[in-house]
Amino acid sequence: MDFLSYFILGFQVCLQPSNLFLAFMGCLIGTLVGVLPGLGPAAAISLLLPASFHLTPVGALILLAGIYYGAMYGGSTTSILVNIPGEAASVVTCLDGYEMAKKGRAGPALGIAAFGSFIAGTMSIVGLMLLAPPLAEMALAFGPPEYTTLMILGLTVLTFLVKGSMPKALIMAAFGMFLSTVGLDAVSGAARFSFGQAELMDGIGLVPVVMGLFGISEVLLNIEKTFEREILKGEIKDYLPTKEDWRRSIRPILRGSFLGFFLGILPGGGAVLGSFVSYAVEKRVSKYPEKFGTGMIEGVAGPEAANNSATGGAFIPLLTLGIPANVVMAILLGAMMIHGLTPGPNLIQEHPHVFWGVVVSMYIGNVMLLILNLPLIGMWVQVLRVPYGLLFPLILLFCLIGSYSLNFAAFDIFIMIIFGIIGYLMRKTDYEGAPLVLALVLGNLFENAIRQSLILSDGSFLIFFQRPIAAVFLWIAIALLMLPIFPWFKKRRPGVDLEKEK
Amino acid sequence: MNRYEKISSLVWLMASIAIIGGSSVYSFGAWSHPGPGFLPLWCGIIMAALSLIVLIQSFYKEKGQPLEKKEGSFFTPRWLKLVAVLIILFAYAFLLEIFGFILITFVFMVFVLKVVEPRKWSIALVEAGSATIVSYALFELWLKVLLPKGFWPTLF
Repeated sequence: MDFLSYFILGFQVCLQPSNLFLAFMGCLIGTLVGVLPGLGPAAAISLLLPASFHLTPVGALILLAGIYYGAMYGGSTTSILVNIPGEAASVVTCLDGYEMAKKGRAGPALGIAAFGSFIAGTMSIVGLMLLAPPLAEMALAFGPPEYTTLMILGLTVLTFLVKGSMPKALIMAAFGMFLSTVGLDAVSGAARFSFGQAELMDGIGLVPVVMGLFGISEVLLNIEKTFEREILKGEIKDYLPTKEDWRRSIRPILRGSFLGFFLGILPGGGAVLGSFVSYAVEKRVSKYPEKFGTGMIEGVAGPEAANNSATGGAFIPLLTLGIPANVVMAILLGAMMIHGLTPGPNLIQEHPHVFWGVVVSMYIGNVMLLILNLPLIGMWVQVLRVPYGLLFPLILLFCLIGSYSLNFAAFDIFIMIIFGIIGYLMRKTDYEGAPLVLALVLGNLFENAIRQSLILSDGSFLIFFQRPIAAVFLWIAIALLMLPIFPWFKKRRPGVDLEKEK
Repeated sequence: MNRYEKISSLVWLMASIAIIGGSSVYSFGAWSHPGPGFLPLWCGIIMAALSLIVLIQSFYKEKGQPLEKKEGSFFTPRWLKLVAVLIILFAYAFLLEIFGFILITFVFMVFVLKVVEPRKWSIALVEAGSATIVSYALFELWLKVLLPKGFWPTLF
């Protein structure tokens, strides 16, 4: 089957009314979630996972993917209008976006964010289409040692990027890996750490953990604060950016698209990293770097493009290697496995309608988002006015029902609450949840890979250094682990806030 | 804040020791044939080593720390609300299957609404009622999630 026929296959899948509807719902919910501070795409996807069980695998993926890139669109709205990032990838947009809004230029800021996101999203989908199949081919040559070291690299990159100390992030990763061992061991049949509880035999579910760590803990943290929100009053006129705006923004958008796409592919990279790097790049290439932070449109165009194209890039490791590039992809990985799809190099060959259906839905989703975002901004602003006193109880309720509905067991609710408490304490003491979750998802895959590698090598760890691709991954990981020891580099670490503290 | 650094790293240290202890129950296997205890043990060891590092680091940080950093309390005055919400959450989990979705959700919402931000009883009741109805419609009727009915059906 050649390229064109794959594309047509994708359209056939995506244009079925039910899938179209799901794409629309995903974009809508994603934008909503992106607009609302306190609920990120990870939490939203987790909340909707149980609901997606009734859908076909393709449908579920279309819905959940829509939420992801929809949230990137929505996040920019709150950043620009209220100076509160809807999620972590929109933090940078606050810097210049809000300043533009204060000068009465909220419209063009929102417009450029939307158009830039659309262009970037489209470009990244093209990238995904072009790169994924050949990469999957290459990945067929990957053996257990390559998978092992790739996952180590992914975890290392993620721990390198988090705010706070690297040792702490590594503790989180190790803990997450440990949690993944709870339950029946596939190889030996030993019931590990199940304490006689039947529910633990299957392991600690990803969804209650994620809902607890990100959803419940967020609410708990917010209950402690009192909020004052100052929503920009007054009309928003002229969404359309001027010619001058376009002239200034087009290069940042293109740069941001490339940057975001490739950073998104990197396990641990993603939209957050993409937006930060894009901002730094724009500041560096600009003729007026000192004006950044006062309302430079380049500071909105670049990062917004980057965070959207990162979503396309992030799908590549997931759909070709079966390795999630970030927390959201990790949850999607869990979702795919629940639906009986095994992500990996064979996915594209065995289930082409899934891959191409999702890819085409992303195109259509981007168009929908462009249409949804601009005219509906008024509506999103109204949503922001929902008082927190009502919002948080609703979020809690959603979490409770969602976690119960996974296995119709109150046990999952308990897990969620416990991880909510753990997450709350973690965030108070600067321990990040993202490495924990990634390790939890990768844990079983990792254990299999390392076991097989050691069987292959008869117990020698040298195998990871002897095979070239594996060695490359491992050396990069080692380098990243060593770098913070050098004080010069310590200051230059991105120090990215993955959980958007406010 | 530094006190909590030390406490948290100690907690993780103790957790890792527990994990190491727990993993030793399961067979480590051989290097060429890792058993079920292999990965958990290594996770525990790595966690222990790292928490020690963090603990030691927290002692060094103390010396360089300028005193002008205002130490806010770890638990803010609103922490009682937090505890209240947690108790209500646990109660929800315990009682959901006994009393059924509709009743427990309604009661839960009323309490949480009152706790999180002060509001009048009448408003709380209305908000709780609508939330219960909407969520029931959304989950049970539309998404076909079978929500617990409690013991009520056995009465009829």
